[in-house]
Amino acid sequence: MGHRQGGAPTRGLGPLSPWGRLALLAWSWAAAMLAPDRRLPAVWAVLLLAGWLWGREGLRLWRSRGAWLIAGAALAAGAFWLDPPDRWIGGIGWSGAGLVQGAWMAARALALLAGTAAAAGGMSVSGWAGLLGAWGLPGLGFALGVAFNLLPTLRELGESAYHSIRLRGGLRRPGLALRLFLLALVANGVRYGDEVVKAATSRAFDPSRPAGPAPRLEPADGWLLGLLLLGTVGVLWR
Amino acid sequence: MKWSLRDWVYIAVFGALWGVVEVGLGSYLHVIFPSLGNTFFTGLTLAALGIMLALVGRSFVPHRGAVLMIAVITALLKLLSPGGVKLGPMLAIVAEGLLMELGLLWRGGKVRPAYALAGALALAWNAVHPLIMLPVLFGRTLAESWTKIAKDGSAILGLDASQALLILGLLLVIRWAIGAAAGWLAWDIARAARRRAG
Repeated sequence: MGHRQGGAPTRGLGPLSPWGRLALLAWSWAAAMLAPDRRLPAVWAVLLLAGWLWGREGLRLWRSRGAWLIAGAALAAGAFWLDPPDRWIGGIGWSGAGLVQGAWMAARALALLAGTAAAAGGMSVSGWAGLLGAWGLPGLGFALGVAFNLLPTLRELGESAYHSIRLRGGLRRPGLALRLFLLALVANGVRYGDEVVKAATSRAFDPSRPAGPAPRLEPADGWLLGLLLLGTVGVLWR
Repeated sequence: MKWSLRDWVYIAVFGALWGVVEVGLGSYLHVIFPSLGNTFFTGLTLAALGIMLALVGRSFVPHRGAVLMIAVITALLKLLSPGGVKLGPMLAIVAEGLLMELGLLWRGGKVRPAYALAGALALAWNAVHPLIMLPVLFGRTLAESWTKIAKDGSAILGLDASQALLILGLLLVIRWAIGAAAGWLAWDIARAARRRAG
């Protein structure tokens, strides 16, 4: 299977195992949601350090337009909507205290997104498949691998179906066009699926058995655990 | 859970098809309707198409839990896709899958109205989604989220924001209607696709 690999530099500590990535994901979600505002810098410190140590996925968030849109929306909502205006610029009223609240909202949202990107972005399809197999869901892991590899083919198929309908003037009747588009997509997708079934059957593949061994812990997981414990102390410290 | 190889492959196919809609069409729609404005139309379109595909998939994998598995595959594909902001859509996809399963409990999901119910329930999630995501993502209170949704809704419907209950009720009815129509249409497409597939 043409799995996407994490492939990120690991600064000499070695790669995280899928278990480590999952722990980072769970910690980042819990910390970003539960930490009080003034403790968010501790969450940020952990996520930035983890992103720097075990891959750049978390740091790539800064290039995501969607992340900046969310941060901008939080700031704007805080300044113009959360509190009554107490300052005026060019006839537009805004609130200083609301802006600070908006900044905390943006910091929380970005921490959540950075954690997800740092933890899950570095996880390969085979990593997820291995985890699902270890949880007693090898069929789902197999399906994830098949789905991931089918994506480009199905996307191409969707584009071809759309252009065929458009060139035949089908878009003048949107209801019929949608029905034909979905039908073409499903019928061709099922045909591809049947070919995958044939190929897997000919190799006597059994989806109820894990395709490989369960993912093992890596030495770097210990370093991560230490970092997460430190981060937890930083968040809870009074 | 003892499903055949074919079942899992079809789950992969329909999960990938929903993923193509989410990742491919989603990026176009987010340009047409920027997320800073209102996500009503984008969410509605993506969810309706995804629901249709998942329900068609259910006719190819007629087991309880199949739609949820399709949704889980789509959510994981979303997570693995490039781009930064995924948490909200992932949660929505899995929640829609769960709600579709709930609707399909009616007569084992073997009748057309069950598909329509599944679609209506799933699309209703779009109404609940901001109430959960705004507090989770931004740390807002439920009351603040409620006011924000009412304000956005008033802009869509052209009603005064003070009529919050009417606005939220109307938006919910619109979602139910579109979701039910999506489920109803999915039944047709499933039958036609099965005939084609032989």
